Amino acid sequence: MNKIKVLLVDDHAVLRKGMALLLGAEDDIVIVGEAGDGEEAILKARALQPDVVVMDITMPQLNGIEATREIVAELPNSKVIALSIHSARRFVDDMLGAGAVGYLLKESVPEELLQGIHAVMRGDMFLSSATTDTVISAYLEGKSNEYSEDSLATGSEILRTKLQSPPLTSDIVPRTRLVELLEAGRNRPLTLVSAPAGYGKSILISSWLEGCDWPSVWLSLDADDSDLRQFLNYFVAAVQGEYSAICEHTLSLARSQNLPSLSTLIASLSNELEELDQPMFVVLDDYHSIEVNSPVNDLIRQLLARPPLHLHLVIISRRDPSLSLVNLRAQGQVSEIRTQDLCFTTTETRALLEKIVVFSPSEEALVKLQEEVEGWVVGLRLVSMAMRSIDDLDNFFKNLHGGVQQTLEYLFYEVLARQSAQMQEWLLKSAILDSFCRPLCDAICAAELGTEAVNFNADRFIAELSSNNLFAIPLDTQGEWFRYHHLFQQLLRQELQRRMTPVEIAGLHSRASEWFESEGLIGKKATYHALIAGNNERAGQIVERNWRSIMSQDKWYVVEMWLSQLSDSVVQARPQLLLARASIYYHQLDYAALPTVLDQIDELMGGDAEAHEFTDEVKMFRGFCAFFENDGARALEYVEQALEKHPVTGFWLRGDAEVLFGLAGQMEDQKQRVMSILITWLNDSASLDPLRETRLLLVLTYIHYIDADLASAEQYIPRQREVARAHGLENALAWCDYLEGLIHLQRGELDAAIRLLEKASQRKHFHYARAAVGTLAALIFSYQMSGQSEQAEATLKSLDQFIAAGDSPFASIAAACRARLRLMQGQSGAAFHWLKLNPLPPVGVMLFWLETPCLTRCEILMMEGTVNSLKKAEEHLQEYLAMNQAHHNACQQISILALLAMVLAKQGKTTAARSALAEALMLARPGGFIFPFLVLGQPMAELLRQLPRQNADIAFVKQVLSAFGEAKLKAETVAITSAKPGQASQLLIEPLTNREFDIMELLTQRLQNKEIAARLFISPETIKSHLKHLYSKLGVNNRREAALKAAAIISSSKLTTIDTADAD
Amino acid sequence: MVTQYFSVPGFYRIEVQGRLPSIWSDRFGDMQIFSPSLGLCNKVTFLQGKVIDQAELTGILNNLYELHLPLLSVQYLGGEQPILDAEVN
Repeated sequence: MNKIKVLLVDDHAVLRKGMALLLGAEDDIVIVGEAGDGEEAILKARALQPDVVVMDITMPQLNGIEATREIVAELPNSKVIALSIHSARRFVDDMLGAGAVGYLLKESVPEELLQGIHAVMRGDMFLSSATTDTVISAYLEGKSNEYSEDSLATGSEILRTKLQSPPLTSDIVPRTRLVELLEAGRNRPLTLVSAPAGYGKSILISSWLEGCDWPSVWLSLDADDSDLRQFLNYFVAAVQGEYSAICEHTLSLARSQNLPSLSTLIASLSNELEELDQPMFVVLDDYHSIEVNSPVNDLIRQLLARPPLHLHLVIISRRDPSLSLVNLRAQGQVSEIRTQDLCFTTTETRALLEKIVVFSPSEEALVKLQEEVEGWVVGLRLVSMAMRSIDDLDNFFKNLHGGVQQTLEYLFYEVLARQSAQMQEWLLKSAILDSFCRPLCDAICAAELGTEAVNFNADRFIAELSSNNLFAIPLDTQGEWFRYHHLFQQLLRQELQRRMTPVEIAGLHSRASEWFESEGLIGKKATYHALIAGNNERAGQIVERNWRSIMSQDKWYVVEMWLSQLSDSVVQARPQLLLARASIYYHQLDYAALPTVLDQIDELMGGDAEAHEFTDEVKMFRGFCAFFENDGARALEYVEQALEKHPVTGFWLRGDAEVLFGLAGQMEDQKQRVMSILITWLNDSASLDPLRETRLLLVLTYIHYIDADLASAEQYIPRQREVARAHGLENALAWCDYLEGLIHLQRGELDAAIRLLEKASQRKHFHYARAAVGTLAALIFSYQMSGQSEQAEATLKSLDQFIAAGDSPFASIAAACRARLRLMQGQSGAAFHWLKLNPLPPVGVMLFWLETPCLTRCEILMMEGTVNSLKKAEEHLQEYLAMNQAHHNACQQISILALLAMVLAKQGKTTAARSALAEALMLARPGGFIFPFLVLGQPMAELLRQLPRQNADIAFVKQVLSAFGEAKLKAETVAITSAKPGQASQLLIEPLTNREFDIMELLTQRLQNKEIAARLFISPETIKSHLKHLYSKLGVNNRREAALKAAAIISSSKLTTIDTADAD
Repeated sequence: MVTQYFSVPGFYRIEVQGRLPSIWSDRFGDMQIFSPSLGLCNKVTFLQGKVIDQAELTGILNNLYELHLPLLSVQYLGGEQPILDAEVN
């Protein structure tokens, strides 16, 4: 057996020797070489071709990351294992991103080194167990976002056929003239082929691109692609056929629950297409299928207005698309092939006939043919087909008359008549389908049992279609799906109508609809055929059968699309469809619209709200409405009824109902009872599916958070993350990051908060919209509080962009957020302005949201400071306090009381102020809430300092005050690093050496000198002298300050990594 | 002056270059098809009749396009059944 060849790379000779000794003792390993820096590593790797390279990261000359990149690129069979003292996420990301397949911490040598080498030789990835869990899991989180293809309820087969360029048959006449035209215009962003059906447009483009040296991808469009979401999904799928990793971000946006605005999507798509490093054609066939008003037209228009460098669109259409062609022509941006170009010339006609029928017509016949058929390709093909069984061809031509249409008709009948009766029947029946495969043909065309010829089936049918070249166009290379040439299909359909009664034809459509539904291809085709069959009922039934399973996958927009395809009268008459509609309102948070629909349902079901089939769902929705109208008692009642009657599994609303149950229970001060029930459900693993599990954990987190018990809230998050990650539940992951971020923020741990909230904000399109807004708001305040004004502004911009995507209920929250930010920045003018312009918002249930316009309003009133403003503020705050006390919402009470204390203090009501503050502190202490005080700035600090001893827990007050101090130090530190984030260490008086950087990092982990020395394999004395230099470079006096400053520098450079990295 | 709304019926006359067999009228929403015999050089065809709404009209125009018949004119004849032109009959 061959020994594993290992190359050791580390700038520390002693360490190399040690590893060499260790590995040399193994039977199956041989050390083929050593290197002391990155460049040497590359040279030696090239020469020695090792199986495994053990690579240190920080080295002189070229560092390990770059060396890894080189080696992985040049020597694909060499596996690189990173070896480092650093467990920081940044390094893991960089090394794994550069192509390393393993990551090992030096402290884990020797045991894990052997393990690692064997693992990577097996083809596995190896990650040291000592590497912190969050680091690896964060990396894997980013990598494991493998989306399933099936987000559109279409089979992957059909997906394939849409991306397949028309296969080229052998009877194609080369059209050199046209290919020259196409070649001449290939550099332009758009090539347009516009002509009616039957001109061989697709074949022309397909054969041109086949011989072209640029790569190309194909997308055949149909009417459903007018939906922007679907179009983007297919578009990116097509482009990824050539470059598998491109446009991932756009794809994730296109698949998110809340579709971002058109401008966001266009920007993302444009940017990502700029990454193309060589020209590429993207063909959009049958572009006329896109409805004129579709946003897809806007997308393409804008893409063409500022085309990415290497993107070349080819649009094939039967009509001129509405893409501002006049402008494009004026700017020389479009190359066109029009009907006239596509007509067969006499020469080409002759060539076609010679090829297909091996016949060379006389000049006279040719002229006549040209006159009659006008070079229309499909006409010529029909001619050639008809010609197969005619003896005197020349005469045949001379006798053609009546113009193209008549000729076409005549030829069609000629061809049809020559087919067997069976073939004819199958041709006509299959014409109702836009695309067909063997099983589908069997389902529709097969004669009823008991009638004649049974030995004719789909296989024979398809075989005959192909051999007779009967206008059946293959849609994929496997020969599974076909469609008819459009004109042929039309003619067939017309003939079908002559031969079969409308009832019989409707029967065919019904069969088709059934087949599609049975194959799981619900939605488009199944309902389409049902509707054509005049069968609104059936179409409605299809939706009824399937909407719940789609809703439980969080794909409410699919259900919305289905409902829009049905006529309103059908929906109004069927309670289940109304229920589907209600669930859409529910998802869109349209509480106003819900009650009416719910009443309708109850009425249709016989007026007895207790007894009917859908009671539970209706009750659930009613419960939700009640909750948000502040009626906790009724909400709890409704939801308990709903949960009681329904079994645990099989109720798609169960998860949501359980969340409502938890929240309503908390509101009504029944949290012990409610939580114990929730935990019982959580422990019943038999009936627990992942989505439900995450929801149960989520509601437990909510309850504790609202109760101001942060520690308890936190405990459920790791499990939630695990489940969510394992099952790709983006929404749940977004919640985890958001809530954990909030928890850190409340504790005053700004860096941790920022880190998590940034992650959450990258998932904002998957997130529950209100929470996404909340994430951005919390992020804005976190940045501002840690002195990073620029970042705060940038995030504010993102917030504006996000809500511009349509949902105006959040516009008021965003405006309030901006006003509060201005206040924090000392620009009270802007804040007062907001106050004037905005009326008092309605106060609803406040839950755990960090920013509520009503509280912001009070804060601004307080800053105004007039007697009236303060009075108003006090009134409002007392009202909110009372409400939240009734709701048992402790976390909001803390914020309200803190603010109230300041208002009272400003009014000179010192005693009242102090007692309010004391109450706030009492509520805040168990959970360690610091943010509500911190955010109110120095005046609050003052207030705290003046609090008499007996009013509060001194230790806690000290904790809060020290948070004020740290915030100040942080702000100063950030001022240093804010100039050039990421190059912070270079901004210091002198740049840090590699060694000093290593030590600095370990310092932030609160290690003692001895521990640091052990990690770095140097003596504690050396550490001490390094530290001396470090302190002077950082401008600090002691270890603690050094640690703080170091942390700030490192986190600001991490921030850059987060900013510039795309997916997370 | 008669105003035609988008979704109500109306009577239209369409003129195209080329010949269309009159038995094809069922494909064109039951419009009547006739070609004036004005000598062999100028082959035009008229379609005239009631159209349910603009959607139907545009469907008819599209069919004519797909059948390769250049459009010469489209004329609105009012909401009432017009008296057929003696000339073109």
